[in-house]
Order: sequence, then C-alpha cells, then structure tokens
Amino acid sequence: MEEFDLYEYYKDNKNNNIILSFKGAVSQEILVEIGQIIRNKFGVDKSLKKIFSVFVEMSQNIMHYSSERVINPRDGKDVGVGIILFKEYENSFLLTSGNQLRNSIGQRVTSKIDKINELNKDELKELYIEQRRKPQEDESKGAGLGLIEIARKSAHKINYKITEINDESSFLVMNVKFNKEQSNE
Amino acid sequence: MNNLIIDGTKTKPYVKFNSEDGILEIGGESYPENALEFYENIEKWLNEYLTEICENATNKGIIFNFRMVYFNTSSSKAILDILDILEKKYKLGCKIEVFWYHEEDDEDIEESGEEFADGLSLPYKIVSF
Repeated sequence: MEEFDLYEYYKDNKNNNIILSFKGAVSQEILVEIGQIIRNKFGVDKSLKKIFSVFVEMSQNIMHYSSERVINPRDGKDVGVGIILFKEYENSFLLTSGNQLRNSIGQRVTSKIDKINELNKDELKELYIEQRRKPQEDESKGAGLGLIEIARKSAHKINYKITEINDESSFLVMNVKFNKEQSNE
Repeated sequence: MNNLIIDGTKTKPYVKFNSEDGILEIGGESYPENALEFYENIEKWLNEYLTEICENATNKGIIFNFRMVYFNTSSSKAILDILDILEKKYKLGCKIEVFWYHEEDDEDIEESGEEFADGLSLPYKIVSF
C-alpha cells in the first residue's frame, strides 16, 4: 500500500489557499462548530453574514441530499457525507462543497443551477418569494430554496462541476465566490 | 391559555409567547436540523391562542415581534407560515400588529423583513435599532 504523505497533503491545502476543510459526515453538530469558526473570523462585520448563510445552505444540502450516508450515533438518524472547503484569496473568499448524488438528482440540481445562473438580482428575489410560497416538495426536508439563497448571497454565478462516478452516482462540486469589502469605498 | 416559552439555542430561536399581555416574540438564530418540526408546535399554539383571544371582546390587541439574528431558508418558510396565520386572523377582524426588528447595519435581516411584508395587509413595521 502506498503511504499517504500528510505533509504533502498539508502543503497542497496551503498552496491552494485552503484555510479550513472538512471531509466526513456533515451532521448538525459539525455544521454548528464550523459555522462558529467562520463567524468568529468575521467578528462583527455584518456583510460577511452572507458567507455564513451560504455555508449553512451548502452544509444542509450535503446533510439531507448526499447519496453517501452514515448513521449518526447521537440519534441513530442517517446523515450525508461530503467535503467543504473555505479558501481565502487576496480579494475574495471561496466556499466549495462536494458530495455524491444519485445521477437523476444530479441532473435536476445542475439544471436548477443553470436556470438560477441566468437570473439577475431582482429576478432571483422574485423566484425566491415565489418558491417560498410553494408547498413542500415530496422527500424534501428543506424548502427548495437553498440554491436560490446561495445565488442571492454571492455576487457571482454559482460555479459547478459534475463528474459521473458510475451508473448510479455522480460527484457534484459547487464553488461560490465572495468579494472582500473594499475598505476605502 | 398557558404561555409558550422556549429558550433559544445556537440553532433554535427563543420563543416568548405571553398569552396574558398578548405580546408574542420570537428571536435569535434559526437553522435547526429540521425547521418544520421545530415550528410545528409554535404554529399550533399560535393558531389556538388567536382563535381563542380574537373572539374575546376584551382583547386589547396582539403584538408580534420578530427579533431574528439569522435564519436559514427552511426557517424562512416557517416565518412566512406564522405571518400567514397572523394575516388570516387580522382579516377576520382581530387586532394584530407586527414589528420586524433589525440591527442598523444588518442589511440582510432588514431586506428579508421587507420581503416578508410583500402581500400583507396587517400593520407591519420594520424597526432599526
């Protein structure tokens, strides 16, 4: 067996501007803890609450919709597995999420993102209000609003990549970018 | 009717529904694992309380305060449900006022307060503090 080189992995993380990463079962406890780290980083700057909002929606998407699932020993309920990265660049932050999805769901999600990416700020707001009025979709634990919320909180398009793993599942990566505030506006 | 008091946690809002003075307040953080489940009881209490109090001639009016700090999208749907309950009773002639509080520099909470006002006819004020 090839030996895993943790130092290389560490350097890789560092060189890719990753300031925080998590891979595993995204339970509510994990969400709260990582969320707290993200919040602490921003202190009282309210404009950066947008990053926290996107982090919560991304994490709850993994929790509820990842097709790779494990039992949470705390309550015996199953919870989704995935990966979350938080990167910091000179002028921006990037949140990245990755998780497995059933192929049929993957297609649904990516066509939803394509549709959302075509909308401007006001159209996104309209879609959000309209979608919030709709009754709960079957099997959905959320309100079907997560992706729209993610798009609204970032000033950029949602960047994604989907890779087919086999006949059953794909791996979906989503990147959401945030500009750092211009301090001398 | 009993009061409904729930202490807030990191992911669940506090609830202070005082049935005697008619001041109902919810605030804090809201991103529980299952928002629908959490809000179900709150909506049930509210429905029962309003049905009882609105028919009472001595009702001096209900004040509903939202003091949210952060809420996720599924909580947002639950907040809309609460507003729908209030609006329905208001249209039946119940005296209800809603106040939506936001910190002065919190644009997100201010904006969502404006979005919730959409389509409501009951008295609804957005208050900055």
